Amino acid sequence: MQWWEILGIRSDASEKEIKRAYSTLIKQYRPHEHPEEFIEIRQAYEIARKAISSNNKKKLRINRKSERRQSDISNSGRPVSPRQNTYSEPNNSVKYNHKQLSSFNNRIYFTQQYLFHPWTIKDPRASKKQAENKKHTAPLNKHELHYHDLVYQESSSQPDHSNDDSTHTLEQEINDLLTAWATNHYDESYIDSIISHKNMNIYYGFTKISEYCLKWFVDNQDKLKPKAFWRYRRIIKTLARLNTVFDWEHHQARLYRLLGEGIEAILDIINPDKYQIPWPQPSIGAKRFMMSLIFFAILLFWWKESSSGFSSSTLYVLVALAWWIDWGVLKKRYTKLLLNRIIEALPASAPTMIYLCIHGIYIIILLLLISFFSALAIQLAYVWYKHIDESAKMLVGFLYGVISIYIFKIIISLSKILRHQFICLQYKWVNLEMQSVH
Amino acid sequence: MPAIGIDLGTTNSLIAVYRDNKAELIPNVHGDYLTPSVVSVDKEGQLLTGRPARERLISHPGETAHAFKRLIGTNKTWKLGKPRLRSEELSSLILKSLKQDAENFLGETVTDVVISVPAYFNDIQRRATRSAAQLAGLNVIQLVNEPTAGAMVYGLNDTEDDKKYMILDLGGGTFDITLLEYFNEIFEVHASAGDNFLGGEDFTHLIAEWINNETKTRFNIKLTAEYIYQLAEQAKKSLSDNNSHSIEIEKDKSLTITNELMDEICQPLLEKLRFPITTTLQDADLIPDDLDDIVLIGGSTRMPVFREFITRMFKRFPRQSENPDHVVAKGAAIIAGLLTQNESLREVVMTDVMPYSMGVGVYNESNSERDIFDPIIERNQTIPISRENRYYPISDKQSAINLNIYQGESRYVENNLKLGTLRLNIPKKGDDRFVDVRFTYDASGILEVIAITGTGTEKRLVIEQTPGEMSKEEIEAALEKLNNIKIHPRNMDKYRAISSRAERLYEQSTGENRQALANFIQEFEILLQTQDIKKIEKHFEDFKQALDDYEHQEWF
Repeated sequence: MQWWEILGIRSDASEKEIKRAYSTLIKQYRPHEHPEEFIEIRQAYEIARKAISSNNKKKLRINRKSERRQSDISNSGRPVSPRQNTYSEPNNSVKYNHKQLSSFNNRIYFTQQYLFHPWTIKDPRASKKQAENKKHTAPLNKHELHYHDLVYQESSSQPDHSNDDSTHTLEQEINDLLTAWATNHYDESYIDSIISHKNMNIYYGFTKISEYCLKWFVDNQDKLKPKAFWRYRRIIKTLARLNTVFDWEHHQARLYRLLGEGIEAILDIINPDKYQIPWPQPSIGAKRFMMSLIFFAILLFWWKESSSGFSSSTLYVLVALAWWIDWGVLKKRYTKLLLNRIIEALPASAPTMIYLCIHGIYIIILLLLISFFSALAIQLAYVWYKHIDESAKMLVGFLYGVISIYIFKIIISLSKILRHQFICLQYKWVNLEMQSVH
Repeated sequence: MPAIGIDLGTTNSLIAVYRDNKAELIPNVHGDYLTPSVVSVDKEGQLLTGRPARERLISHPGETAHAFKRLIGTNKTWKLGKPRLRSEELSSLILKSLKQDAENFLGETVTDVVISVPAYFNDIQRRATRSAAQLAGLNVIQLVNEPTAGAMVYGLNDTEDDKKYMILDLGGGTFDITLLEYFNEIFEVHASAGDNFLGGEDFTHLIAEWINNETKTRFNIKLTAEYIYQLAEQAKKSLSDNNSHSIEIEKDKSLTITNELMDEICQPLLEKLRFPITTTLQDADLIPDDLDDIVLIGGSTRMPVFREFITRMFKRFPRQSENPDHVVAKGAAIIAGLLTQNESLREVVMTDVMPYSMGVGVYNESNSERDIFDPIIERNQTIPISRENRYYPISDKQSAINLNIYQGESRYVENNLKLGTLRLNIPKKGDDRFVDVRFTYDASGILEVIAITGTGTEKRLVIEQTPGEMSKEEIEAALEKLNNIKIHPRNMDKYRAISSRAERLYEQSTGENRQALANFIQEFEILLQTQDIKKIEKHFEDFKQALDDYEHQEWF
């Protein structure tokens, strides 16, 4: 049955007629006594009401646009068909007779409603397709924002809602403040001035500021990745603070509709479980470059020691380099394939402990290896230096190279542990501070 | 059968009856409408409820429980003398005393009642309120949301049809908002939201904190927490009528608090008020210009700070024509009349919403540890409601699907409230490897989950009990426990109340006043032991007058 059949009215009934039909019906079928009938009536009524309200909004939107663009259209002199107009394409708007438009919209909207019936069974398999469709409908959603902007402007023009700012300047103001915040080392005082903005106490102002802030963060995500990693704490703190003020987490669904997928990345920053601070990891090329620098230093050292040892020192540098790179690749493969899988399989609190354990064991092994190689080097030096030989020099130089590699590795490993601790501490601080705010 | 409505509040409780086409409040033994939601125990181990207990809150804070509604549905207990009592049991004592008052007033037994709860109470808290009523020997016809009940009073008093209201209910411990439309004698709630930990008590705590800091830094005096709390409460009440209030701590040492200062002190709480307001408006898809009226109910809405905040936010004056303390109880009585088919209310229909989303947990592809919450019934939909969704197994080797049912708004299930579990076997191969899950939430607040697999096997789960709630055995045990506890006879209650009050005043006073009060108390105690009702009654009036005069600083 169609909704108008359930409610017992015509399909082009007005809002009042729909309400009257609904009220007489549910007086007969009260929610306590006839729940099943009530659910059916209610669903029909909800569709009817949605259709009416969206119709009204569309009408308003088109009227406003047509008023604005009247001059443009009259200049262009291009004939525009009414069909194009219903999709509210900004360029094709034209001023129409209200009555004609509303009945037309009614028809279009209701057929759409029936295609996407709200109580048809939702298939999760189709959700992926829907997600793809969402991207296409994104510009349409922008219009919704536009509509609210208009309402805001309208209310600001009324005498009892007297407000000096128009939306444009408000957005500009918020954007300027946030840009200043990002450029001035993430200074909290700019955030303070947003939170204590004079429009914050007005409903429209509050929602608008919330949207503009989040929009800025979505648009300027690169500014949330500073070069100096110790600035992250300030960013997390600021975002967490803004989240407590605007309650973004609670309104995720609506904001997603308005601003798209970008908001998830922003909300993840506040979520300590998901967010990993991007550490400036040296690329493999950079690592090799640094290692070659070290070897170059060793090479110079040996070249100074012996005038004729240049060719041999080049050799052992090359050998050590090849060996080191191989080792690095092996290690990477193991950690990627094995350790990560183990970490994932364990409960959520375990990774931190495991991370520390692995690095601890790694350091111990490296220390053992260093002591072994250095002992070997000392032994060899002791035996072979007595009768100086080209091959002995080469061997000892190789061993020194290996030792220096291990020392370098230990430094890297220690820095990793420290960094991990640092991140944990940051979250602790931020959480503690947020608790004190609550 | 009388139509009874009860407002079981955080600080005060009320009971009202619907008769002769209007709601009428029922006074208690002391002749007041408000019964403080406080329970205390005296030296003999007898339990006191209402005003005598309230007086003991200052003098014997360790033996008095108050604001226990905030922790209803949890396992927290209060130690009152020997027994340890849960929040439900304490609430049942208050309900019992209200029931007695109503029975005395009406001259007939009272069993079927409508009890109001904050709109943002979750399933566990609602069920706990039901078990409290059960312990008090009452049968709950329906739990109604406080703002909805308040709206009933305003809506029935309005002659105009087709109006949209925003009801803001700031009580002692909770803040609720409801957006509601009234047309053709139908009350339709569009959306509800709230904060269960934001109320008048929190404002008092902030003022107390301020007083504590000021006295410490300015005068270097340390006062007891209970005394500061009382000072803060006095200041808060006084600021409702006056623009400034001076708190006298010692001679020549006083603090002055003004409304502007209070606005500054209470800023963090006022900021918290904003979330639920925006949520309801967005859920109902309305803008503030659509609203015809903004109505304030609940005692704490008397605070100028709150009223100013609302006026600033909506740029218009809110409405408060009824007594904000009495509205909810009256509304609950009207709803009771409506449900018991009172003739004058035959045409009125009320529909309510569920303020929380309900759904199941689904697998999270990016993190297998944290399941994602997939709502089936979204929040703020009119109840009764029924919705269906289809779910598929994660892997091909799976032979069963576990459905975990949750209530809440968070994206991850661990932050939501778990209501129950269903396990369904599914075939290993074929096209019918799926489960259709239907959630049905009925008007009296019971959720039924029906899961049907592709092969047609069906499983039902009616969620009646959730963790943290009392089971049937526990309720029986609690009933027995409550029967064993001596409750102070209520005809002596008012004498007990006045002597506790005198004791409190004694603790606060010094010098001559103190001596005079001590004499008064001693005289009265001796009189009480003679048990000569006439003499006591006569002395009681004088005593009360004297104490009233003293509290208004007119003594001596």
